[in-house]
Amino acid sequence: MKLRYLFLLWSVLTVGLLAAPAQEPIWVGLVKADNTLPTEEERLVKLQRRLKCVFGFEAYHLMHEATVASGEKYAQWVLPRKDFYLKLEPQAGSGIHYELYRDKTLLVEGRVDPKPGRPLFISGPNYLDGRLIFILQRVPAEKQP
Amino acid sequence: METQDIQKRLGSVQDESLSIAAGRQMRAWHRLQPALWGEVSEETSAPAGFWASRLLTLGAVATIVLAVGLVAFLPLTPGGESHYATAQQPDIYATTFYSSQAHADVVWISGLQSVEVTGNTP
Repeated sequence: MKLRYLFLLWSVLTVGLLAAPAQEPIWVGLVKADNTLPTEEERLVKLQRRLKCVFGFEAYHLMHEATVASGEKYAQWVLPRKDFYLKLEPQAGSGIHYELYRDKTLLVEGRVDPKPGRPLFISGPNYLDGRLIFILQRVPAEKQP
Repeated sequence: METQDIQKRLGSVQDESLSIAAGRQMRAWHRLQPALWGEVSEETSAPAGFWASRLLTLGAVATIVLAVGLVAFLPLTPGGESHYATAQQPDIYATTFYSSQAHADVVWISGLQSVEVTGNTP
């Protein structure tokens, strides 16, 4: 009998662990990278070094940001611009499907399930003297980067 | 007299050492169990409980193996990758990789035309 109760307890714990936990929202940022003087963007402090490792620019300026709740059933058009925008579609369970459009033409689509502390950088087109970069990062709602 | 006593004792020893008659073995075993282990457990006395406990143990082990397998091998399968990206235009190329220095996933898109400054600047 003890074994049975132990197994039931263990099963409940296992199912609880394997089941999709309540996912934190995904923070989406549009950043302009250039070689001007570095700025102390409060939301980008922790990401500046990482961004420089990948893209090499000196400064990163947050131009737009949004938060996408996981598990939503409807698509969200984040960072809208008439000729260039990113469509985000949360997937069932976890993860997010994204589509990059230019002049209503789908350029790139993909899927990502950002892990906390492991953001996704999407290199966008050149803009002015720099480049646009999209950042997708799963963070607690009260702790956006 | 001594010979008779010895014969009686030998006889009693012989009786005690004789095997239990067929059909009485289980009864003797059940009477012996409390003396050996106290109360007889439910699992050992009930065949159904015995097999149920074994099945539960087997199920627990199978679940552990499944959970370990999922955690260990799921990220290695193509469908279990943390991210992917595919270009939808012939002159666009999307490359995904993981930057260990930045500890970040990267989608590198080549072939994008520059975004011009308009009234709808990002």
